[in-house]
Amino acid sequence: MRFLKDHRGIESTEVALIIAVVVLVAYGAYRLLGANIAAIVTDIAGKI
Amino acid sequence: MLICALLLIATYFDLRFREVPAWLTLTTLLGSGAYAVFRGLWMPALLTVILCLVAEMTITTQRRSFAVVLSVFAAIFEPASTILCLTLLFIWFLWDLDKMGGADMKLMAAVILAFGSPIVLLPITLVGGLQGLVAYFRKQTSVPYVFSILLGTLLYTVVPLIPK
Repeated sequence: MRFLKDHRGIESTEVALIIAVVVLVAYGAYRLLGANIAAIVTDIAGKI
Repeated sequence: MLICALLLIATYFDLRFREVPAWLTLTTLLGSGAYAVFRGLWMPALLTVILCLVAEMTITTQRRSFAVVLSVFAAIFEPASTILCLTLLFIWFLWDLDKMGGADMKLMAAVILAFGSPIVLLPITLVGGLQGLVAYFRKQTSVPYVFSILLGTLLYTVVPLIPK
């Protein structure tokens, strides 16, 4: 299986930097909007 | 602390061979998945298994859209795990786009499942970014990311400044 057979533990330097920025921005957005996101998902789950 | 010990062994393999043996990544992932189920986080654990199966689909667009739909369904079925499910999808996507190694992806998913919080990703990626920056100035093209996973996890465990 592709998922199980991939053993590579390596990343390009650019990707490591981009992931850091993306996660930092996502964390900031989560701190700002986290409660609203949870409320929206709970609302959708309730409607389904 | 057990996961830190496993990550330490994985870091040794990553620094030495730039590969982590399958038995080590799978043991860590399975152990973390079982622990997550034990703590009641059965949906993120189930999503990890589903994403493992979805990876087998050969048509790229079909595989990726299927992964997104299933992750959204997982989040809807267990709203408390929404961020956790989306974080697992994010890591899977990076691997599927061939931007992240399979060992890194499995170990990061294991750490997220073990701690039951996506916040652990913050110190890991910040250490990874710093490592990437150092490697960039040293004209290196790649970084052994398992070291960042280990150091980030240790920071999350030890430093009380990072919100848990």
